[in-house]
Amino acid sequence: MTLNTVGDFFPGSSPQMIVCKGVRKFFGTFEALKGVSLEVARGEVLCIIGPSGGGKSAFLRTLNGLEPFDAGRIRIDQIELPGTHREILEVRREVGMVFQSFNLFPHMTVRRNVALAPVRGRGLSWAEANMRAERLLARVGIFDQIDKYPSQLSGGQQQRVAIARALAMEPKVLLFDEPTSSLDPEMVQEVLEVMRELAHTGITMLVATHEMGFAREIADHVAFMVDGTLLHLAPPKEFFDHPSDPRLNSFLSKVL
Amino acid sequence: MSFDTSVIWQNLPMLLAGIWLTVAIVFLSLAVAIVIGSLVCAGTLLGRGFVYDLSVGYVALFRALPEPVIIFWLYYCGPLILNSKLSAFESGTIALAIPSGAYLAEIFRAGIQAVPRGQIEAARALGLSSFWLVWDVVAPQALRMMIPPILGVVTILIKNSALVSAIGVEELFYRATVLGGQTFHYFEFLTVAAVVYFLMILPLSVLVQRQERRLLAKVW
Repeated sequence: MTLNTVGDFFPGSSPQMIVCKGVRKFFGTFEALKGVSLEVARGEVLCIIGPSGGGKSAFLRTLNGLEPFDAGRIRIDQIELPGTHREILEVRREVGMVFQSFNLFPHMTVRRNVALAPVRGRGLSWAEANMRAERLLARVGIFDQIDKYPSQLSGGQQQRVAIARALAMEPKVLLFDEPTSSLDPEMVQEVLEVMRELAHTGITMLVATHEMGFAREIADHVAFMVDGTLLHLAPPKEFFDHPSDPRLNSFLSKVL
Repeated sequence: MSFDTSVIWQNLPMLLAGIWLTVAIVFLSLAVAIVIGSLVCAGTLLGRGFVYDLSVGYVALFRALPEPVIIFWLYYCGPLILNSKLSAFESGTIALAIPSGAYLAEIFRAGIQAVPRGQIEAARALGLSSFWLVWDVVAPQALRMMIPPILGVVTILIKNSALVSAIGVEELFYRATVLGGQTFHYFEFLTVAAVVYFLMILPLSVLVQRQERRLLAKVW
């Protein structure tokens, strides 16, 4: 999983959608990411688990330029970070993100929440973008709420709108930052169901989550992140059934 | 004590001229105050540096000075340090705008900073450019929160506009006191002035209440 040459980092037609090499991030003197190296193949679903404060969120946020990092390199498809302002904008248009707290725009209808970015960032007309929004909202099962405002929706519905909003840019990669952690238990499944369907469409997904069952079921690989380090990476069966790392063992025994 | 309406009708053109001048002062000072407020707000948002210190100093200074002090100072002391002498109307209008600009700067800053961080992150994550981030996400939410306090500043501005009568600007309150003195009908003219001020401010109070209810109800 380590990369040694620029040739590896920027191959002509790489099977890797995301390549990270030695990514380090400091918050003041606290080192949140201690040199994370990782490859994610096109269409792969990678679930990242680990205790809160372990760097999962910080890591995902470096991948779309939301969190600048202090050392290392990241390549998303054809673009390398850290990059110019323009390149960061382009990366963000290729990498959708779904937040723990939804972060829908409260002053816009559900339809406009989804249609906005394609109009502003991809040059679609409002008519085209609204049609795309309707199609995506139907796909996540929110079509009948399309003219409502986010505050009129349940948490689960809001998160499904947030997924539709991210999909509206037709991204190559979707980042999920603990998408079900702030949901009431009965709403977790409806969001996981949408993500489960997405996982089969060939989009590359990185999911920071505490949902072990979900990770085991849909992930191609599961990563364990603690203290800013990627400690273990394996296919789900091996990861959960034969955890080799003692810290992973102790974490799993607490959450499973 | 009788209320003689005939003196009001006889002097109506004078009173209307006063009302007109009051309205002009309020709108012009507000326009200048919005420009000052925006610039000073931008300065305070910088967070550090010379322009930031200057902006914070501006707010601290002009929120602390009584309006009459600013009005008199600019009118009587201004010409000592400036080359040109401003008319009473110009000087009064600017003097009213100076503290209003300080209040607006703080309202703008508070409104912008009250937009949750997650909103800006969501807009960035969607790849919105800085312009659209402000236009579509920050400004609409910040403006809605700013409306009640801005209307509060306008209310105070309307009331403080009476202060420039002290340097001889012939606005509503000036006309009312002069006409009262000339006719000995203070009761009528000051009452008319009071009613006109109240009618100017009443719609603002209604607007503030409605907007505050909407904010509480989270209906956009």
